[in-house]
Amino acid sequence: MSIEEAFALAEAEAKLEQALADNKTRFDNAVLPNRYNEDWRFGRPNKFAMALAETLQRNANCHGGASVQHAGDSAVPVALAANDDLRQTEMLMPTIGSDALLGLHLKRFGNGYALYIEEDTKEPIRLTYKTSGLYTPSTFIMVAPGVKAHVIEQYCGTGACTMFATRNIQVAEGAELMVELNADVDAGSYMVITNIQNMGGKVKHLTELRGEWVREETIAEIYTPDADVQLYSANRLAGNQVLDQHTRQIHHAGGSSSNLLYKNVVDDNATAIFAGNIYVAPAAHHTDAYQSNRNMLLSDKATIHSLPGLEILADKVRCSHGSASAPMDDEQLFYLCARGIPKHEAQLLVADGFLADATDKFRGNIQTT
Amino acid sequence: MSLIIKDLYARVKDGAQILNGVSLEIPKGQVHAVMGPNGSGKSTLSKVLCGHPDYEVISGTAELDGQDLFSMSVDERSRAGLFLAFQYPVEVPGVSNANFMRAALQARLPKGEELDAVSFYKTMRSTMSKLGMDTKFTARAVNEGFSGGEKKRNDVLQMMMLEPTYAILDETDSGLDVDALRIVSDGVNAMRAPFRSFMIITHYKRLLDYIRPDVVHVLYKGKIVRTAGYELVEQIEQNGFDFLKTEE
Amino acid sequence: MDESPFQIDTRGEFAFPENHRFDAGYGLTEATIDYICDAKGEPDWVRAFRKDALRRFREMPMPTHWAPQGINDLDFDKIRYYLAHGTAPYKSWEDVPDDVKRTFERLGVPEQERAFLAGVDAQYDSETAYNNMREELSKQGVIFVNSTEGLRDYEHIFRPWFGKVIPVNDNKFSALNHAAFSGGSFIYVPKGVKLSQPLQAYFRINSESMGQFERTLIIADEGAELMYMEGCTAPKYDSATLHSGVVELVALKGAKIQYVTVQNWATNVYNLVIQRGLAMEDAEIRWIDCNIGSGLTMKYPAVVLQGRRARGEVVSISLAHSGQLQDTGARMIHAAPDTTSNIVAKSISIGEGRASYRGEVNVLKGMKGCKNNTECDALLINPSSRTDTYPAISVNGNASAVQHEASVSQVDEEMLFYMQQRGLTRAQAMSLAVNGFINDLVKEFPMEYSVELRRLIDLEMEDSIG
Repeated sequence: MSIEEAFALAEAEAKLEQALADNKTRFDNAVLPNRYNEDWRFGRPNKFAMALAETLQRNANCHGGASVQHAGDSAVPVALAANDDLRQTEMLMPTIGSDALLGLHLKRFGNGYALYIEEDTKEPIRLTYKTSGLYTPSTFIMVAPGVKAHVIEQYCGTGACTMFATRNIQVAEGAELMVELNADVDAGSYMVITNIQNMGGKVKHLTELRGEWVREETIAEIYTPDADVQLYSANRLAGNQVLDQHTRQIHHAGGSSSNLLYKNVVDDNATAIFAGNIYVAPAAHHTDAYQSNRNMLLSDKATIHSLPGLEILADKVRCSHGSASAPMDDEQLFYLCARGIPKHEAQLLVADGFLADATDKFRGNIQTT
Repeated sequence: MSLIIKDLYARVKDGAQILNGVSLEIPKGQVHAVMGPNGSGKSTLSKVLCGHPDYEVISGTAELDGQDLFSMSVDERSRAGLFLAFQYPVEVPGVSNANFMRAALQARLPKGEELDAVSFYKTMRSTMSKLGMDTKFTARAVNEGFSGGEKKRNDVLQMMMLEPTYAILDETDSGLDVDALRIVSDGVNAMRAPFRSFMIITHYKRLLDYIRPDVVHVLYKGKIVRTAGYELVEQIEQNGFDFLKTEE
Repeated sequence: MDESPFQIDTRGEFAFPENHRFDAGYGLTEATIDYICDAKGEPDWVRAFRKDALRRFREMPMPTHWAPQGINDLDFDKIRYYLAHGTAPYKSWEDVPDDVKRTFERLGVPEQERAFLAGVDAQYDSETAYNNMREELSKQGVIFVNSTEGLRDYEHIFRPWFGKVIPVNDNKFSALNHAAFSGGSFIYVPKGVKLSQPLQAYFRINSESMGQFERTLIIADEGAELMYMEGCTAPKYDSATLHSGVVELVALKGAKIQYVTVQNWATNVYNLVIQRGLAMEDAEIRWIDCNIGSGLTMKYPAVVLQGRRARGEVVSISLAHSGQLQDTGARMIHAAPDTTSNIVAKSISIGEGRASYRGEVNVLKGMKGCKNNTECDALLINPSSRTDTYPAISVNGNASAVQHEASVSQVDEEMLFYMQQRGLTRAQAMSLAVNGFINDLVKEFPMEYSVELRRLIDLEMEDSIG
């Protein structure tokens, strides 16, 4: 080890010590979510709290099972229990108004997987988490320089279960990661906090979420020029479902790019909330960042709240955001019906097509059926 | 068996009256052309027949092989055999052409019967090649990002796949170059049959040179004012629609 | 380039020595309120109303969870709440005290009145110094007075709407204004009366540490139409000055109100203004808002679309240079079916200036056929300039369409180079480019104002780049 490397290491250690000290106060001082907190304004935290309490009352120690498939030689799955490095990573991860909940999650740390992906994946690595009670898994995905990887995470809950997951994703220089999260918790409640740290690679991230109450916090941090993050989401809500999505596209370095497309089809009495923010740090010049939230409302009781934000502190930036909410286009419906497709099916087709926009862009091509 | 329109009055919903007593009969096996200056109600007629929600029928009837068209929903009319090639085909984002056609064909099958996917794709590909369309269009979203000509061709493709008994072509020739026009016309001509009829709405003789109509109607101010044979097309080509004004 | 027909000192960076007969001193207590009520000779209900508002003001928290941090530096005890020469406005320029007269003459008020205004209300610190309206308008039943006169002489017209559009407990600054209000315009335009010329208010802060709490209530009766314009200036002092006005508009069935603001306070002024209009059936309310001055502005003109087919619009221009935060935006509450609203906001950040758009569009439950379109564009001039966009959109039901688009851009270097190559200085070229950026919005201002606006922008650009 050279002297420079040794100093760098020592400095990193010192920073970590400091961070851990800071984080202690962070968790001690954190306030549980309430609706006066801007980040939880429309999210109905009481629904999650009730679900959590009910699940715990039913069975205090229940949790779920995890499995990994197709990891092969390209990735090394690691068990989390007693892994202090990973615990510290989780301790340092940012949240969007959920520090107190992350503190609780840390107390149950130990479930889930860490994947160190060092070779191109031949077929998608599948991580599956299942529960019918309370389950608090953590996922760590680290992609080595230049490696191309595809990971599919599937979270299945049955009955009135509660899931609360964290995900830390790190992508090294020149790496490419496609990662999709498909969560179906049925009648249960589900929350996931994701931190993507992009050190110079390309990341494509897709969420497809379904549950009685679902909250997503996705924080993408971009540290080098030429790094790219694309965030997609496609969801269909019905009944009394609540989907509360919060995103951050944080550009620490100029010359980087990010794109976000979140689409929801909202039916019945369901509510979709999107609160996103693009932050371009001072001197992160020449950044390209886009953000788009599109909603299709199908019933007179469906509700959306859309809060797309921008905070631009740099120059030579190309940034835009858009939000649109509208009913299904009658012209499209008429066109399909005019070809003999019954109205209900035509509606399904148009809604699927509306969402396919996001999933197709995630997959990077249009798939033939 | 025919398409019979009687004394049809219709207007834009809460707006201007456009059709002022259209009567028309198209028997099976025939090709009828409907011509007329801009704003005479040609596109309105086609949309009213298909049940477009922007228009409402004030009075009059339309029968398709004895069935009352106006008591049927848009999709029922389609499955009863009525097809409209749109003047401006609509873009349907995210719905692939193939999925769209499958859904439309599936809707025509009796309950419980499944469309045979293999023969469906075979038919679709061969029809596309007849129309000079690249097969990559199967995977593309319906009309999305298509050029004007591509959209028109896509509508004709749908017509050939769905095999309607009554097809209305609303200015299908606009936006087509000569080669595309010939390809589209060949497609239509190949479909001409004793059990099928066409209503061709156009401004120009060009299309009617390729698809020879049996009967030509002139629609003016929401009424059929003249009905004759092909010679009427030539008369209009030479003198325009000025004769309508002198007749008023 | 267009030349203004008037030689006006639009920046207003001058001050006269204080010469007040009434001075309530620093801080706001019950005694301050008694002092104001006694000076104005107000009825008991107003005194009770003010005291109730003071109690609420003390109880309510600052809007800290979302508001800009700068607002916490405001010290309510270091503000003077009532300063006046006299309590009754003069109706003729001749009678206005000399220093006040000279102030408004330098600001071009009398010339403008003669040239194109239907009426003028000129406020100097806490009270209206001059108020006049063309005679034919009073014959038509138009009322244009200050708030004290309005509540005293026309209680039956103004009291039913007073504090109804913006209730006392709406937020802390609403309560503050309800407690300390003085000056501002009360306007009533009778059924079917359409004013062809605008009414103008001029707000001038002359004294140090002054708090100006003007109160404006405009009622346009059925089918009435008017345009109201306000301009604001103050000299620059070392200590902070507070401007916290409340403006309520009521557009009854089929009425139209256009409210134009050109705000050019000095940069030590906190400009915390609440503006809200109620639009009934087929009525239309437009806020045309330009913020150039003040250190911190928080201002989000709102329209509550209360009647069927009501229309609301906000056109907003903000210019923030170093040391300024322009936190501006718009709110549209769709509370009736078939209502439409439109928001166009453009901001320019210069040097270390920060411009933020904050907006709310809300289509309430059960509403059908509502439409909103929002466009926000931000222009960044220097590498350390900052812009933010914080919209909040809520839509209930499947029969309304809401669309929001925002973009951030810079002045194209190629364009600047091209203009400089043709002989313009960089500041001139930049000024042209900036004027081009907001050109479509400047056209929405009355001609006299748009000329002024362009000149102000030129001055700002020269100062920051020249």
